[in-house]
Amino acid sequence: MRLTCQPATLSQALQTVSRAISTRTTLPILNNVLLETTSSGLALTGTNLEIGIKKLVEAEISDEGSTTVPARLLTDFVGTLPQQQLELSLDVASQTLSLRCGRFDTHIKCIEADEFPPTPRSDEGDTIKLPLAELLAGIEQTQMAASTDEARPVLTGELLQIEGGRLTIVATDGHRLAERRLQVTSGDGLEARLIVPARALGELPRAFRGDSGEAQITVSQARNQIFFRTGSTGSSEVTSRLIDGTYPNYAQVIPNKSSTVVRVDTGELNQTVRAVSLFARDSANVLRIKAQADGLALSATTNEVGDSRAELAAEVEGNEIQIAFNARYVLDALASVAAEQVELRFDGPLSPGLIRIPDHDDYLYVIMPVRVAM
Amino acid sequence: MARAGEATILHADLDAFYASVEQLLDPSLSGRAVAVGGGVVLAASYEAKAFGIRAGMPGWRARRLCPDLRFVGGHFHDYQRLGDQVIDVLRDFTPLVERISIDEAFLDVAGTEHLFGSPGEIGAAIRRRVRREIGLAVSVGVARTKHLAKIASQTAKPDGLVLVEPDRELEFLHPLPVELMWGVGHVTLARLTSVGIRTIGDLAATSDPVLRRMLGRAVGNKLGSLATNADPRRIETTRQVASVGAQSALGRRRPTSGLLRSTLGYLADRVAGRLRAAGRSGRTITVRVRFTGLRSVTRSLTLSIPISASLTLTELSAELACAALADHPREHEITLLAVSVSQLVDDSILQLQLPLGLGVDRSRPGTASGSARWAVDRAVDAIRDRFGRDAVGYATVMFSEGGRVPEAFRQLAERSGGRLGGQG
Repeated sequence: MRLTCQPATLSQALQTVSRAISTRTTLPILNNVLLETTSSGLALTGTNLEIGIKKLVEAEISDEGSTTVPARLLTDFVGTLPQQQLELSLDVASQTLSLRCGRFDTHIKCIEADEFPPTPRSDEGDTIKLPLAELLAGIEQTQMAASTDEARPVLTGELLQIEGGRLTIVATDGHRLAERRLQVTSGDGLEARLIVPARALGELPRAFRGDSGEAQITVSQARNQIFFRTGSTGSSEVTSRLIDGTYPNYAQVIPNKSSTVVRVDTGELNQTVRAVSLFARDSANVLRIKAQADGLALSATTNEVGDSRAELAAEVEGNEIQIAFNARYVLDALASVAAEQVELRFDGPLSPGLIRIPDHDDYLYVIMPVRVAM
Repeated sequence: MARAGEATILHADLDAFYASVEQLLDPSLSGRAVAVGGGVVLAASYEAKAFGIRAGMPGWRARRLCPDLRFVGGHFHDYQRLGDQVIDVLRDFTPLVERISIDEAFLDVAGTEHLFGSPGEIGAAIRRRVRREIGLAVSVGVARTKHLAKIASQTAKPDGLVLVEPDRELEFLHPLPVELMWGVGHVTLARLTSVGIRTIGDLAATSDPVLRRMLGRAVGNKLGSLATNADPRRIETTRQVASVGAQSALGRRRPTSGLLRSTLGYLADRVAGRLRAAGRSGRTITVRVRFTGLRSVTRSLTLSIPISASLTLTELSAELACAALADHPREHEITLLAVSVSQLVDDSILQLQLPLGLGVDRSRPGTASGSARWAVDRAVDAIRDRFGRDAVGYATVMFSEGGRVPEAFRQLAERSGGRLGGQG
């Protein structure tokens, strides 16, 4: 293996694939990053056997080959190199990688590529395509609602439901639920309900930074692996195992009736909740919302800290209501609403509240209230 | 703050409290042998004790010892009322009053000499006022530490006052029998006497490693230091209780699922009710099962979300008890079950759960079934507040009991000094 590339490009790609490399692995080979020459450049792969990240780096290849290099050392070293051409060459017999760049002449001991766990192949799986920007936005709008509680593994994943030419992404931790619907541009014959670890989805924005165009999602035939890819040549790829299990029938928790409907300016509400919730520091960050004829009143109190109250104009239809939520859950939702106005729907102080964009049904967010003893 | 060198801690303990209250309420009983209870003696007057009658004794045996014994039913409201009045008298002398049960309390009178005289004089004044204003006899111990004050009040009984001067503490302590010490029950006493330790002095002369080997680490260390009069505990006026528990001695019973369900249901209901009354809930559930021969085993479980529902605590306790029994297949009989809840938090705020229909939802308080349980508990608590504890309850618990300690008596015992939560 012999090639030349730019240290900056390589460094960035190494940082991205290192996200899949665990520092506490029992298998030493998993500390390494796989380097492979391909027809379109140098491919880097890191994996922890659950999540794999692959990045393609532009490179001038003179001899083909592959090896695995200690990821931490290589990443740290390449990160310090000057902006001069970097030449990599592997001595196959001794598995030593030479790095020459400016005044540096460096040798790193490697492990043969055959030792690296085989990367799952996606070739025969079912595939859908959709705009990358949409996919990333959909993940960003839902990911925070996924659970981190390993006692309920299914909820640590997000549901990707592919059906009727649509991809629906859902996440819930049992307290709030976010749902985003996206249109698929090709592959509308496929139907599937997949549970993807939220951590894997969280890697997509980083792994695909700088990429554009279409994203391609492929499900392995055994339905146990999922592949996300960008670019016609697959310049970046994130693979993940799927979580085994049945995702709860989430549709049943989406309220289908409401006794109070509020429309309010998103930015103003966001800013107000942010300010008032500084006083919602108790165990459940309790933010009280009162909807009355002419608007909303928000308040929060923490013993020994203080309290805050604010009013803001809003269109309120239906009954007056007083309800309490965890302020963090409300802020998470408002950060995801990319619209001037937001709609809040309530159906009593102990029933779930709904946050959505008026006249749109591609995003919704359900929050269970906090019961506050009177 | 008490100066280390002076005896300013008082322990005030009402004499034969329940029986004395009965004699106070019904003058025809005064000077007679009186027992509170019926099937079992719950408390006895000094006159009855003179016949050898003791709390916990079966009624028939007590009658055999003293054919003239008068049994009375128990005026539980009056016990609480009069006990509270006595505590009010104590609070007239200092705000540093730590009530440890219905009929006893510690006080620290350091710094009140100029107002009320020396600690010994205060002890005498307390005894006079309680006798004159309430009509009950109270014994008082005065010493430099809580442990010593408590022992002093025991030796002062009946109706006396004992002051232990700081320079003759060990001289006072060491000839006394070990069973006067706090924390020495039947089991510990039996172990100690089996190796010839009868007095506190014997205990003090035994090395710590020997005590630890014989009694276990915690008890051994504690008794060892108390015997040499090392007791740094202060008066605590606002004790925040770290756990709430209840236990039931069963005699010797086979651990059938019916017995477990009804006993644990009963205990869980008591514990959960007390948590709710204090506005608290807890994350750690502990169950203790005692087998014959005083062997016992404990199992506990820590939840991610604190609970206070009776039914949820019953179910979790039963699971823990079953796990404990499964680990000891050779134990065929159990003699005691205990349930406690710790890691307590304020219960006023509860994040509700989305009704996702997940299997583990049952024990989560914020789910629909959790909310239903919460509503049931609130209704039961409200009825009990108004009509008394026995007015309503779970069928498995209510229809399976016989010859238990009366409910109101237990409540008095459990409602001792420690405060459960902010609201009290």
